[in-house]
Amino acid sequence: MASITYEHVWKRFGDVIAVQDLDIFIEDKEFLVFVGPSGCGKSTSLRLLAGLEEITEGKIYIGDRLVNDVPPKDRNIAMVFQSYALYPHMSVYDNMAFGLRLRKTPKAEIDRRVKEAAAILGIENLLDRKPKQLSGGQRQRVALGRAIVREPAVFLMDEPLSNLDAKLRVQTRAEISKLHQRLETTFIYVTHDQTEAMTMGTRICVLKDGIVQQVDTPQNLYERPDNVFVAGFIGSPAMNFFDVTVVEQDGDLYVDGGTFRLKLPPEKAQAARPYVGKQVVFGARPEDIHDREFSPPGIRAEPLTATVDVTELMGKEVYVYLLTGKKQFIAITDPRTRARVGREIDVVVNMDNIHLFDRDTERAIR
Amino acid sequence: MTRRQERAMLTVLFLLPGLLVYTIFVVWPGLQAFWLSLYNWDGMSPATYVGLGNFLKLAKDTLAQKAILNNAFFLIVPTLITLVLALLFAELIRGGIKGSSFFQVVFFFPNLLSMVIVGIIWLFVFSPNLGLLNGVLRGVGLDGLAKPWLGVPGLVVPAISFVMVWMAAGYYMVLLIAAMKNIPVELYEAAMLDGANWFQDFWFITIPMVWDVLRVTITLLFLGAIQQFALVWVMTEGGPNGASEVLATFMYKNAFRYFNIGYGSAAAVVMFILVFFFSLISFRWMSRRSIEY
Repeated sequence: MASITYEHVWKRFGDVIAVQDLDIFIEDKEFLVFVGPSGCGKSTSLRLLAGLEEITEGKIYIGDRLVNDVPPKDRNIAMVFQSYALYPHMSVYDNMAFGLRLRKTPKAEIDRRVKEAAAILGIENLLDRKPKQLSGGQRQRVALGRAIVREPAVFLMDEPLSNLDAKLRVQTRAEISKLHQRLETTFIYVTHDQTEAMTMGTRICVLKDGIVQQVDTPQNLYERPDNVFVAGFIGSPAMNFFDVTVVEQDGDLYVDGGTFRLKLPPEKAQAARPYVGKQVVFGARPEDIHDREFSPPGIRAEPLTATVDVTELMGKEVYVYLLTGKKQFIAITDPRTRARVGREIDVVVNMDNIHLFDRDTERAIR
Repeated sequence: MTRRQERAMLTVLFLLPGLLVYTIFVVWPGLQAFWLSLYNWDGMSPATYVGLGNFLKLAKDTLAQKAILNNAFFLIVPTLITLVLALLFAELIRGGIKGSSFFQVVFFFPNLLSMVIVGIIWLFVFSPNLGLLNGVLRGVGLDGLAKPWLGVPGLVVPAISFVMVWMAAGYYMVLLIAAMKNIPVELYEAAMLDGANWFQDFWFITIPMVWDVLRVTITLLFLGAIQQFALVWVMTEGGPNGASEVLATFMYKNAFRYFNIGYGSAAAVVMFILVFFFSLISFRWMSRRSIEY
């Protein structure tokens, strides 16, 4: 069991900076998720911890131990690869036992650990099979099993669900979360899927172009994104962004988008006051834009009229793609909505949950 | 005629010319060799039926025995050395040594030459007085090691083996490099995390993953060893005094030099049986379904 410290870690591949000044402390037993688009440095950050890549600058600690020059096999970590990396010529049992055999673990102990891990993952009946005889989900469990038998201080997972179909992904997400609770070990998980990140992590580290954007709990990332990138990355469908001007009228502050004008609540107005007369980025999540007819009670709602462009029936809700002027945005409405393509509809924006961002720095205005 | 029948007929029509040529130039002469091995025939006079007499004679012929032993030596020693070197070079190049492209070209180059040219080159290299090898040995003061490499019974077969390895290692190295490049790098990373060292990586991952190519390599090397003719013929013609005789040169001499065509055919039949036997063994012993992943 161990904490992890990345201390001002850089990784360069020639002129390309893959990881820039990564400085983060991960608590023991935490489930930390590195998330971001392709090429953001999340897998590289994981591989630096595993020792599969050399650090250009900085230090990495596992517990109190500096591991910069420690070989991967001595770092007491186990890794699940995106492609599972199962040895195709070995049986499931041998795949799981391989690492232990190399470390000259006694046979009886190997057998105990393999069977125990197999029982946890429900793959006892697969031990004699070869990887090619397994389904994707089964291979994934074997890869997990191979990591579990090592009894490592840290589990590393590099997009382990990306090769599974959508249904299996949802199922396996829950299983990995349960595994984390059961094993009480530090998990570092890499994904490009913000849904996986939000549902699994105790904390999430959002990366973009090798730079940490924000490290926080899923809830805080959702409610208090530090910048436009995090705000747009977290949440599905993504947050709507509008270029607006902050205007003052009769002592109140408004955001003026040309085709709409919405009044800011007092606490947002206070933070936005230095920006009066200036352009800012206004963000509103689709789930905070409602059909006026079915607006939830008790919210600070500001009205907006827009034209319906597309509707998508999702069963329990409707995604309505709206146009105000030339700007398209999405609202998630009640399924009873009477929004029809081509018609105008009145929506309301829940101003308690809107976000404002500096146009130049893209940082949140608070 | 149905479309399926039409297609079948078209397939047969396309295969027929090749099949015809194969039958005329391979199958028919092969069958003739089998038939001729049961006769004594000098190519001119009428053939005399001797049944298995040629084979019994072959079994007692000390030169034939020597030839088979030499083939056995080629089967084991240069085959093993070629395999080990090809694997080693391939692994080093896969590991990314500096100048790997250069080394690949250098190691593969001998394979571009015909066996006759290779035989002639090494004939000169091994020449006792004018050869490069003895010249270098004398040049560095190792006169004692300068030998008539192709003129001493105890040295001629190892010398020819050396040339066989020199010719073959590069070719199989290239095949193995191609096979190794298909091994997913994550397997080695997983093994690294598991604690595997270089040799364990090589033994537990590389070898099993290139097994299909290795199997073909071993089979081809076996067959090459049994069918060896050109190098031996060019360099020594089986000499000195039959010390480097192999089945192919024995067969050739008896059939076309001594006009003992029946006896030579018997040697050819024995060679065929050996080739067939080793092919069967290779494929059955080493057979395993291809790795899928």
